[in-house]
Amino acid sequence: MSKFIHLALALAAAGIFFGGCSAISPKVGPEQDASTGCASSSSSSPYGGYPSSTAAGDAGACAPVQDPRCAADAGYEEGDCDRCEDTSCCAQRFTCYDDPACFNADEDLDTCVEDAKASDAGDEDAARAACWSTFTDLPGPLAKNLRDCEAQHCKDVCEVP
Amino acid sequence: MHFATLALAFFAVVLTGCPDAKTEGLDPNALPESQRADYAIFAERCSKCHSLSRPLNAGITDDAYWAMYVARMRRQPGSGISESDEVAVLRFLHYYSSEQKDAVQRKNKDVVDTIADGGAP
Amino acid sequence: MKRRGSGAHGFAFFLFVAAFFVLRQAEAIEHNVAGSAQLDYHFVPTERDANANAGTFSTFDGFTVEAAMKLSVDVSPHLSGNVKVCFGCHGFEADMFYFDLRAVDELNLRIGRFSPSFGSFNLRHDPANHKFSDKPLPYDMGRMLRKNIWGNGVLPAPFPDNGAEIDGTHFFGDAAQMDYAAYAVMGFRNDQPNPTDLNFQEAHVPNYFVDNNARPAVGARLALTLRASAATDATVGVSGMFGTYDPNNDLTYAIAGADLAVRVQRTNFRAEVLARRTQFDTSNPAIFKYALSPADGDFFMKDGAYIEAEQPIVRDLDFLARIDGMLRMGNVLATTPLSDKSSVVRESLGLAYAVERNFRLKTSGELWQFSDRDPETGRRLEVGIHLGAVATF
Repeated sequence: MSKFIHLALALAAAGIFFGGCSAISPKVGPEQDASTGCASSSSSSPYGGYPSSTAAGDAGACAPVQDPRCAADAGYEEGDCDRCEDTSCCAQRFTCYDDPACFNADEDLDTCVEDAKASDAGDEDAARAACWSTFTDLPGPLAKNLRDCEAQHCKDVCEVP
Repeated sequence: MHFATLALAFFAVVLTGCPDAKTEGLDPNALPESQRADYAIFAERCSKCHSLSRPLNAGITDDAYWAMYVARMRRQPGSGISESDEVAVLRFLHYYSSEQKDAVQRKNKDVVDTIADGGAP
Repeated sequence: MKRRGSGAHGFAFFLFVAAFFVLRQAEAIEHNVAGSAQLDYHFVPTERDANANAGTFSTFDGFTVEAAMKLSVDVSPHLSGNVKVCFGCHGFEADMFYFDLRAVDELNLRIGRFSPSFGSFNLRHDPANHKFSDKPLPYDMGRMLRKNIWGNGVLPAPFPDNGAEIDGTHFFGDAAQMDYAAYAVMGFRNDQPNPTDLNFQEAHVPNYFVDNNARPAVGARLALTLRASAATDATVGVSGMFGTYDPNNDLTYAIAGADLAVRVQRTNFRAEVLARRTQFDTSNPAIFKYALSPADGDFFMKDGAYIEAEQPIVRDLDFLARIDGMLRMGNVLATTPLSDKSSVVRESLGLAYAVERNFRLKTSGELWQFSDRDPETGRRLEVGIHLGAVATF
């Protein structure tokens, strides 16, 4: 039954777009390592796939892909913490930013930490730790990866508890 | 456990129901013979996109407003309310809102009479 | 962001209340107020700790309320206005705030905030107007299991937007009715850097009710209703929508749909198919699960369909059945459990019982079949149960 539904969905969608031309048939290359952008040696694509060299360039196929947003003049650096992130946690930072939930959680973290600093309620360290705890409670690995990287490389400038 | 309790409560309400409850539409057998055909068109057309409670409880009593209201509904995409249906629907709504007005007046009169007789309203 | 969004919601609610009281003073203007509220309890017994709101399930299980108040005003036979404020998972929102200026049946100008004409479900999106507790998957907004992984439906309904629409209807006697609509609206958006999908939250929880790029999204719909007898009619329709969603106008989306609805007395049969083609930013290849294909590698397809039937058993009790599903093809973010070809199919059975004229109970059970295993539980099959009640006035 479910195969029938899948087939019906695919056929109907293809029919809507005038017979299933390539404009509605997206293609992908082989599965790649999330942290480097390199093709995984064990992966295969159901579409036959593309050699990783065609996707990422011959020389750079298995070199880490540096996000252009991490460049100093890309407009994403407003302080020492941003600069440290771009230098040491580039992939973790922008992988988080590219995920809507992680992006929103990161914005909430910034607001929460600012409020903790501005508050006269007392223990700023505890309040800041609570902000980070909320951030890393986000389901999935993105927030945790960013926090771990910052704790390892940018602990002081990013005030990671 | 809390789910089981909710389910039991839900089905208890469904099975017992309310014996004298008004249902979504009207009982056609309780309508005058002359109104049944118009009501059938009203019920058929006006339940296509929403429940019949919307027009039946709209509280509109003015024929001119019903005319604008039903015309607006007729123009809804796929309403299926043709101009001849509109006439039948408006005839029924005129009858229905007149009945509603009379019922309110009868109720008010009963209250006034009760007070005039010295009883509690 | 959230606090500014709440301000917008408060403003919408204030506008509705203000409009209502102004119109109460203007007795010459005919107006009508309607409202609805649905309380639904969604139980997902297959989720660990019975908390589907966490982890990869990320659906709104437990109690949810969807409520709305609508003010319709007929200023004259040619001018009418509608204001609708709804309260749901996003708080208060202006679902409608528009005017219709109609020359004849065949020519109407609609301006303001409204859901543009697309598909047949749009007219019935209010919970009082559909008998299942939740919407068909292609139109799902936050009620599906694994909603964050899937990014909701193909076109989550309602989809209110600011813009203008020209529409009209023409009757061919009693036998047929043809409807058309063409519109330009702000369109969906994603203001975040390097977007990879539409962000429907930005359409519903905006900082400001303004466009994020200077180019409107456009669309059209054409539908034909044929009546075979006094109690039997059928409607077929096609719809399309196209726009850009990023601030630079580089990334496009196109949504197409076809629908069929057949009514025989009180029995309803409906079917719809939707397909969305969405371009994504490819400036950072490392964020994707698969290497970018040099050809046709910068977009994904998200298709959805449903068929459903409503059959009265006795006068106030309806039996409901629905099969719906979605298929997503193309590259995905490296962090998602989805693959380059993922699907979900749901089969639902339900009952709707009218206890009172304005009060209906709803219940349904649903079996979910995902093509991808849940990363935490390893499950592909899930079960959900809805218990709901909806009241109107």
